[in-house]
This record gives sequence, structure tokens and C-alpha cells, in this order.
Amino acid sequence: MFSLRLASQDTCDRFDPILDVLFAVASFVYLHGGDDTIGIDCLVRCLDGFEDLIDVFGFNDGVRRSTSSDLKAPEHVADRTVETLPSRRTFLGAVGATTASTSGCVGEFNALVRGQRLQLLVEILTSAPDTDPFAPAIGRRLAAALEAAGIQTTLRPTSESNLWREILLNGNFDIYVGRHPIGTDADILRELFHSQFAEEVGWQNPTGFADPTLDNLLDRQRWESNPVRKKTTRAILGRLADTVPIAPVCVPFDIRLRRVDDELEWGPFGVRNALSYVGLASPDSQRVTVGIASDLDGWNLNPLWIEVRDRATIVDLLYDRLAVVSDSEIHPWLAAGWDVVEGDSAGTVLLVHLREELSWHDGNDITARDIAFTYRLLADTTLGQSNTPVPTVRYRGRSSIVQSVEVVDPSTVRMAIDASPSVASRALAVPLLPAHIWQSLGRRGRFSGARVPITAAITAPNETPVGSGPYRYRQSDRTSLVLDRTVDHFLDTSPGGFAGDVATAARPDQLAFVALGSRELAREFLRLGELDSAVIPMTPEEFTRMQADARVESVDTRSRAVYGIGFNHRRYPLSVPGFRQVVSRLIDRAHAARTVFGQRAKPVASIGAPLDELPASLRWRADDPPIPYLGTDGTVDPEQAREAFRTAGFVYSDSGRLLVRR
Amino acid sequence: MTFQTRLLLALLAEVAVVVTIATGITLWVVVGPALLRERIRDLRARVHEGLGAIALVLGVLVVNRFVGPIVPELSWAIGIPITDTIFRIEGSFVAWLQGYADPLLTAYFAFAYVHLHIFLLTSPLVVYLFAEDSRAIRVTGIAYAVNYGLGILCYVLFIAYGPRNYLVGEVDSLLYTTYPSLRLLTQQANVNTNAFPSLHTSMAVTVALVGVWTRDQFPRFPIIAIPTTVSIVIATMYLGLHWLLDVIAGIVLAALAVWVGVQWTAPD
Repeated sequence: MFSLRLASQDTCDRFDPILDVLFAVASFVYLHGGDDTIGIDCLVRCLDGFEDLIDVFGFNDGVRRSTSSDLKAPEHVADRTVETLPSRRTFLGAVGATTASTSGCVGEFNALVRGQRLQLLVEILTSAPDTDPFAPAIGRRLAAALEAAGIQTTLRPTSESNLWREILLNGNFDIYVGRHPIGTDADILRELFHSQFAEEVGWQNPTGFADPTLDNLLDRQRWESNPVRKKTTRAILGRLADTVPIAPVCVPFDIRLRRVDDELEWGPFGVRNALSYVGLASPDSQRVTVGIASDLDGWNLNPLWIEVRDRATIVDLLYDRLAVVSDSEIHPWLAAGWDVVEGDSAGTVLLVHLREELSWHDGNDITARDIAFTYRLLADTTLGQSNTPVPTVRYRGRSSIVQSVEVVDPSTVRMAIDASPSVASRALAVPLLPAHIWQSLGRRGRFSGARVPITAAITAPNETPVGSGPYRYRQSDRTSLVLDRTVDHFLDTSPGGFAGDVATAARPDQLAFVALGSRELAREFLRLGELDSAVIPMTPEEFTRMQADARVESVDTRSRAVYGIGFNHRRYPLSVPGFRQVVSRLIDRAHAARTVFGQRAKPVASIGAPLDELPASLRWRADDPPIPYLGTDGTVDPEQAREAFRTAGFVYSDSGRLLVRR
Repeated sequence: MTFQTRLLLALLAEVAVVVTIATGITLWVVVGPALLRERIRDLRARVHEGLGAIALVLGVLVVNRFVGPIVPELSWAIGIPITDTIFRIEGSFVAWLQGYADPLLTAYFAFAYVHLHIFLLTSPLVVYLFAEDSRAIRVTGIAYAVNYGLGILCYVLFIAYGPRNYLVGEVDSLLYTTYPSLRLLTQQANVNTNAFPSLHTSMAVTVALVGVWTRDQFPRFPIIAIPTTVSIVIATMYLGLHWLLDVIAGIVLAALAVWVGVQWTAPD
């Protein structure tokens, strides 16, 4: 081992994998053993023969002090002795420092153990490719780029439900790659980035970002009206480009696969928009079968659950909203309309009128009481039973501006909203919930793997949903979900305005959704004629195979979502804007759009790219990209990357590893 | 019946036909008509003696049926992610192997991974019914159970994605891209995070090792079992489902399982 220390860099690197295994074993025993001494002892035993490393741990006063001063809950040891155990990550970080030392010089070794800095180790969390092949592919490229820049990086794929649970509920991540639905209105950015939500769980500020300048702008836009609001929105996007709370990568196309010979007319709406089903015309009005990507872990039909992707579309078919957003406009839906009775700098008051003779799928009437109840539940899902409110984990931006909802008569409510009239009406675009069913769900929710206070209203899988939407639940099993067209829905009895324009009388009597564990099955089932359509992310390779099949074709629509790299702002050095700016420059967006998405995505330089207000300076230009890449053609230039980190104030070890203070 | 169930049953029927034919041929070649005729008379007694071992295997399968669904959740709670470590050690070996991909090879390895695997696991249980005594069948049963038991334990302790789920874009999931409907079959039993060790490898190697161990009785069995095992082992990597390290761990597990089986059944 002594010779190892004196050996050249190349020789040392050869030993890294072996050490990795030993550390994996040691850290496992370490975390799963009773206390923190077992792990170290075991490591020493494991390393029997690697005397030099034992020496390192002989010194390890330094290592231990460093780790215990940085207390984080160990990743998988929920409640156990959090106070005394350093996290596995920190532990491995310390171990990493010792590996680095063995490949470098002795002076540096001493500095590492006794001194101030540790080698940085980050973990990238992504989905597994079966349901989303793009995020892990971007993650792989980012991991390789970070390694090239001297940052040891672990890529950790997991199922999509685990992924969002870790990000949105537990906040347990360093960096993640994921799809962020943005939509058409800038107020979504308040939900994603305002520091007032940093303490909450869910889609509201998932990365824990806090920037007073941005907060100020985000608050301002909600009180403004156009054209001033547009100007503020541009300022917000500029601020986001400077601070990079989430590094944008691409806007993907959403793809619907369909059989060439079917006679379905899908209308003008996006693939992930429930209106595409409401506006679907089927020649024989029979059943239409649609395949969707799924981890095959059951159907969660709770409109308040964090689940992203296609299940949200299905839930929108089951639960109507007072108003729906389409093409940047808000349209009355379950509401016949609303009057703005007051609208000034003190807020907006809306008088919202329900349509007549509305009922829930179980036959009960929908009344103004249900509306008041829904907003009360969104504000605090414990319904006042807890001293600490537990707000919803979705629709938080929209519901948080609702000051009060007052029942005027059975079909009218008076809503006081803290926003200008143009923003205020967006508060109406939340799913309406029946009070007689949801009242009892304020109790504490049981959900394995969530380490935050959460209520049954959020965690209940809601397997037999009762809503008021154009389709109602019929039956489900592990791989399929069948919905029936709602009889006497207002779309049939009293359509009018926007709702009447989009809905077709010839929409199918039954919608069957089939959970697909992989995209290959989509191609096979379409070929066999078992599916009419499938909505599932396709790799370029799978796309080519599908195009070779003469019976299947695709319809692309540019989505209003952004694939982005999220940073946990609660963890150093990810909390440093300069660090994030450099990481953002380690991804070749144009190359990713080509190789990962097969050109079925547009490279973007702003998380707000789907918004109309995107300033010219942030529009993507291939010849002069707003976020210049630190390399060429998908390969990072290690020297340029290191130089950029150095310029941002970071330091490197002699062996080229980025070091951070404890 | 849903269309998935219908497709699945059709697949199972096809596999059953192949396995039955292959097992019949194996019996003919390995045991031989003379011995078959001679020993069919006291088959009942031999089945009776081997019943314990077969019950053990079935028991483990039943337990797996109930425990299986909670393994991913439990694993996420207490397991350690090792995919990255595996990749650091072996690199793009599987991607290199897939460089030799060819439609004929893919067809053969897919056949090996699904059909030959089930055949290989069934064949010793049938062949050893015609052995001199019941020890071979008991060794096989115990070794299967040990493989399964330790395998599931590893799946809880280690979260490992296979290369097709990790080296996205580099490694093709050849099995499913070529034969999508096989997915219906494999998703009944396989979970993405259960790659380390390769149970396909360990079970196949177990059969080969026991085959070598019984070579004095059935000298022709290793001649069938070894090439089949090698095909399955290569298939797991060629199809992008397992890492080289999963395979090595599978071989170690198989050796351990056979050793336990032999020790356990040793006459005092």
C-alpha cells in the first residue's frame, strides 16, 4: 500500500473500483450496524492488508469530526439515532477524500484529514428508463461531465413514484433530472420558486430555493395586469437565468402513437390534456383503449397526489374544475361564469356561478358548499384538526392566493383572492372535490417512505373515485382502468361557450387505459390491434423500429413542460449560484435534443421556455446559445470545466478533484 | 379475460410445449430407454423420497410469491444502491458484448433466456427421478431453495439496475426490443432493481454443477446441461439484462448452493 501512495495517478486509479467495493461493504455494515464504531471496525477488518488505509482511519479523529459536524439524516435510516450518525453520503465523502489522498501527495493527504476540505461527491437522482428514458439519459451525460470536471458522481435511477416521493416529499436528493410541467402562465414560477413555500412539501418550491429579488418579482406579477405583468415576467425569467435554481435542458415533444387504420379524431388538444379525450370523436362511440407508461404499481386516482404524467390526465377526466386553462386562456367549465365585483390593489373578489343541476357521480348534488370545502381542504388538508396546517402538494400556487370562499346561495360563491383579476381567475382551475367524501380524510395519512407529516387526503390512493367529470370510474385491475362516459353530464345536457365548443357528442362510451411497463409493449399491442392509441415516451431507437411498422404512426405536439436539472438548495455547494451556473454549462443541450430525444425536443435556456413572455435574450440560438457549453459535441472539455469552477471560487486537489469545505 | 392475460397464456403454452419436448428428448438421451423401463416401476417410491426437496422448492416459491411484492419497497427503505459501483468496476463490458449483436444470435439467446432456462430447471427434477437413489434430486431441490432464498435476500440488500436500465443509449434492451411480448412473461417475476446477483445464472450453473457431480450415473447429462448453461449465462449479458458482476455473483451463489445441498444430504 505504501507503494500505492507513491505510485502514479494512473496506477492508483486502477485501485479505485476495488476500494469502492470495500467501501460499499463497509458503509453497508456501518449504516446497518448498531452504532458508528462497528462500521469503522468492520472497514478496518475488510481492509486487512491495506495497512495504509487503516492508518488513515487511525488518524480518523479528523474524519469523524468532519462528518459529525455535518449532520444529515441518513438516507434510509428513518428515525434511528439521527443525531449521532453521519449520513452515508458524508461518510463516503470522507472515504472519498482518503482515496483521493492515496493517489496524490502526502502533504495534501494531511491537509485533507486534518484540514478544511473534502472531496465533493454528488448523487444524481433520475427515473428508470422504462417509464422515462430521457431523464436517465440526461443524467448519464451529466454524471460523465461532472466526473470530467473532477466531481465524483453517482447516478441513481429509481422508479418514477420513488423519484418524486424523494424529491417532493422527502427533499432527499442532491441533484435530480426530471420533467417539470410549466403550462402557459407565469404564476407557476411563484409556485416553483417562491421562498414562502420552501418549508412546505410538494410541487411548491421543491428545491428549497430562496432569493429575495426573485420573491419580490414573483409577488409583484400576481398583483399586476398586462402589459406591466409581461414586463415583470421577463424580469423573473432573467433572474431565474442568473440564479439557475433549476437548470433547463429541453422542451420535449409529447407523442401519441396510433394505428394508421383507426378512425378516431383526436381534436386539437395536447396529448397530456384531458380535453383531448373530451374532444375525441369515435365513429362508433364504442370503447377506446389507450396505453400509458406506468411502473405497474397500481392506479392512484387521487387528484391531490404528487403523481405526475398521464395519471393527472386521467384524474382530470374524473374531476371537473370550475374553470379550465387552454391556450393561455381561462374558460368557464363547471362554473357557468363569474363576475369580478371588485378588483384593485387590495385584491379581487369573484362572484362565481355554478351551472344548474350538477351532480357527483354518486348522485349527490354539487353545491356551493363543495366549492368552499375544496379550497378549505387545499389550504389545510387536516381541515383544522392540527395546529400545523398541512397544505396540498399540488395546486398550491393557485390555491394559496384564495383568501376566503363564502357560500352566497347553493349555486353561488363569493371568493376573495389576493391577486389581480387576470391571475385571480386561475385559482378556479383546481379539481372540485365532494365534501361528503373528503371530509373524513383529514386524518394522518399512512404512506411508507414519506418522512413528513402528511394527511390521508394526500396519500389515499382513491381507488374508486367519485368526481363529477365527463368520465366516471367503472373498474380497474393491476394493468387496466376502465372509465364510463358520465350520463347526463353538463357537456351533454347544457353545453355552452368553450365547453360546448370542445366537447364532441361522439366521444366514446368507454375509455380503457392500459398500464404499460415498457414502450416496446406499446408497439406490440398497437400492432396486434389491442390498443387504439398509446402515450409513452419513445427513445429514438424505438421510434425507428416503430416507424418500420407500417400500421403504427405518431402524432407529435410540443409540450409545455421542461426537462431540467434540479439542485437541492439546502445542500452546500449546490446552494451556490456560481456552482450551479457552471453545472448548467456542462450539458450540451443541442446534442441531448439530438441524441437523447432524436430531435423530438427543443433545447432551451430558460425554465420558463414554454411561456409566451420568454425574452429574446433567452431564446435558444444554435450559433450563439444563451448557455454556452463547456465542450464540443457532447463531450466536456475537462480543462474548461475546471477553469470555470475555479473562476467560481472552487479549488482542486493536485489529483484534479474538486474540494469543498466541510 | 383481458387481452394481456390471453397473450400471456399463449406464450406460456408455447413455452410448455418446447419444455415438454426438450425434456422428453433429454430423458431419452440421458437416461436411455432401458433404464427408463427398468426404473419406471419403482418411480413412486423415488418420487416419495424426493418429495421433501420438491416441497422445499415449492415452499420457497410460495413465500417468494408473498414476499416478492414488498421486496422493492423494503429494498428502497434499507437496501444500498450499487449500480454505480458495478459500472465503475466493469465499465461498458455489456455494451462491448452487444457490439457482436446479430438477429440470429439475438433469436438464439432470447430462446435460451426464456425457453432453455425453464427447460434446464425442469430437466434435473425429471432425470434424477430415474437415479439410483433420491440424493441427486434432494441436492437439486435444496440448491434451488438456497439460490432463491439468498437471491431474495440480496435483492433486498442491494438495489441494482441492469445495464439496459443504466447505460441508456449504450446498451439495448435486446430481449424486449426484439420480442416485446416476452415482457408480459418476465414482468410477472422480474423487478428492475433485482439485478444483483443474476438468478438466471445461478440456477443454470446449479444444474450444470449438479450435473457434473452426478456424471458417473448420467455421463450424458453434463453434455446437455453445460452448453445450455453457458448459453443462458451469455444471454443474460448479451440481452442487456445483467452485468458481468451479476453473473459472477450468480456463479458464486450457485457453487455455495450446491455445496450446501451436498453437505446437507451427505450420509453420516
